[in-house]
Amino acid sequence: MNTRRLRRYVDDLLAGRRPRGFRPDDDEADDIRTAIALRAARPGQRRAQRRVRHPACAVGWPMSSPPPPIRARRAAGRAADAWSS
Amino acid sequence: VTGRRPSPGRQRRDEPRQPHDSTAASVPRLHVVGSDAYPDWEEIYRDNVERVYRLMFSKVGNRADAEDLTTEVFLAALRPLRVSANIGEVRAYLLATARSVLAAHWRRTLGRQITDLDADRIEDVFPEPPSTDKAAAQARRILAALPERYRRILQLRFLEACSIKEAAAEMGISVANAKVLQHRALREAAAADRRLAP
Repeated sequence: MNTRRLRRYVDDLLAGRRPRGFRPDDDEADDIRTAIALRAARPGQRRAQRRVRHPACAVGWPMSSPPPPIRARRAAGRAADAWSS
Repeated sequence: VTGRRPSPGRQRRDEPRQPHDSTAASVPRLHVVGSDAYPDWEEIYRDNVERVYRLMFSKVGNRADAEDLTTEVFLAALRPLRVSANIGEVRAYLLATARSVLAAHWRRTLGRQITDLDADRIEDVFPEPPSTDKAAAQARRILAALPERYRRILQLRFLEACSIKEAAAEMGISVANAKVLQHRALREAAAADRRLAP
């Protein structure tokens, strides 16, 4: 067990950061599962913050029309990613 | 040889639905929530984005991942959907897609499944009006099973959003002690969670 990686993961969760990945063992996986359950119970933290990327923004698809073919959407998505990065 | 995957709206209602990803848990027979259909894709998104986000947040515990996974769910689910599908069918498909997306997230980040949506049902995930808060109830059960000091440090850190310094001051201990206490408390809470699991 690598306590440091687990602590970093939990610290990230608590600080509202995106936790960094690692390969947890069984005990660490249980700890993470419980940490998520407790973190998710924090009052007032679970409403969407309007930062969910709208599909129309993600792939350039005006949603008043039917979705474009998947190939076109992937290309549009890559273009959008390149634009935003 | 696999045939073309049926899409909601095209599929006969008495057929079990297949999720878009073979890694997803199979979707049970539909429980039709209502006979109404959405007028367009925008409305499907607007009516369900909050619910999917809330669900994802409860499974990953952080906003950034929950936001990305929510977007991923809609991107994956909206293409196969037909606007003619009724609300129950749309939500069943979103839930099936969310299962696959969450499973892929855990494989990618931690190499193993940490949380899943296998036991989550449409009636619980898409409640109208909102049901009682399952996450808060689970947290209360876990904390109630802990000794006072363990319960207090987890409450301060996880529920009351205190920094480690603030939590240490509140409990009258050093920051180093608070870190150790939090680690031990979380380990004990995980054991309690396992014991309390149905």
